Amino acid sequence: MEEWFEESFRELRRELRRLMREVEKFFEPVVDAERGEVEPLYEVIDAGDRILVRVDLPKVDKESVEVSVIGNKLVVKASMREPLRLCDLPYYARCEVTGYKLELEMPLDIDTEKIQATFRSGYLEITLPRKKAYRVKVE
Amino acid sequence: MKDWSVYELKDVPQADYLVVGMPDVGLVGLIASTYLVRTLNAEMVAYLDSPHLPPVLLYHEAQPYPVMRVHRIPAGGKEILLLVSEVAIGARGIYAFAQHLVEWSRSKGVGRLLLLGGVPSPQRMKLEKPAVYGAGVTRDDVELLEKSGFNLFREGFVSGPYALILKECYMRSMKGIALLAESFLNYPDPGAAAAVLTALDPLVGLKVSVEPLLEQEEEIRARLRETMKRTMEAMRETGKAYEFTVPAMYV
Repeated sequence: MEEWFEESFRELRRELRRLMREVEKFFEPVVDAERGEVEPLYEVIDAGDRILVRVDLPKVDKESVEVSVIGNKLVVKASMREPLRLCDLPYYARCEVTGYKLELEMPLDIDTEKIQATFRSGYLEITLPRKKAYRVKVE
Repeated sequence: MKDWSVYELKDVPQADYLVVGMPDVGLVGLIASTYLVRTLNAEMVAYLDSPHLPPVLLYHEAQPYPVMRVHRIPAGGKEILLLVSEVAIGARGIYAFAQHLVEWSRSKGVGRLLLLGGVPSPQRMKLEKPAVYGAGVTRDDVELLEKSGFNLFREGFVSGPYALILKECYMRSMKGIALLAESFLNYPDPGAAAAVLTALDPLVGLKVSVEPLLEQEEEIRARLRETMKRTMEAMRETGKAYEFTVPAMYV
């Protein structure tokens, strides 16, 4: 019973955090006009012993994909092979979209030394293994 | 203002088929239907309007277009109407929408409704050629799907506007088939749209090449990023999670 309650509460917190992120995002520009970067579509999957981050990066070659860990953030950057030209749309008329940038805050228990990334057909998959719990011997 | 209204711009003939393409998983229906409009130069003959649609008007080549339109596709002796919706409908509007659309289809003598969409597959990244499932309403629909070699949608939930359209067909004993390609849930999926168009071909005899669609795949994915985000917001409200749920009848 307790476990069910805790899981429901965790789910509620996740949903609230998601809603808050969406509210914050509403006020952010869709394109970073200076850098020509947009946030790509992505999903985060909690697979128990690891977290999977999948990112949709169309018009990108593997060589231009950068995955970095900066502090507690996972940062993905990629440049498009050629800019996305949407100049007929007034919102994009004065800027070209030339790349992607994604920043995600990582949970504290990620083993950052063992992060792996694969890229195939424009889809990036990043595996973030969780650190294993261990007991400390009490002297 | 009524919940939903159809405004006919020209004389809309009695039709053999109404093909429907709406934003849903992988934007499969939207990509497939807009591709048909462009490739076949399908003329707009009517549009739908409702206070349940977002307050937007589309401009294309300096011309205004309502976001939910009916086009007429010339198809060698058959009359095919194509409903394209650029926007997802919120939960409050989809019941009345489905009812109105199916009633209007009936008034136009539509022989069969064909809904183009996707079914989310967690393995989509590994699939070169996604399979297409057919969900039929009447026995006639199921027999046609079987005869045409389709994977039948045997078990599970269909959700969202397509579920309601199929339900309205069921209530009126009208023929209706949803063609659902394995697709990404939340990334635009032109590959799945191409699969669904290939599957549609033998049912209506359109003979449309999907090669140009596949060549433009990355460009389409990049351009429809924001549309996918808007659609995901709408999908949350319209029972999409049921498609991952095992029904009790299957236990």
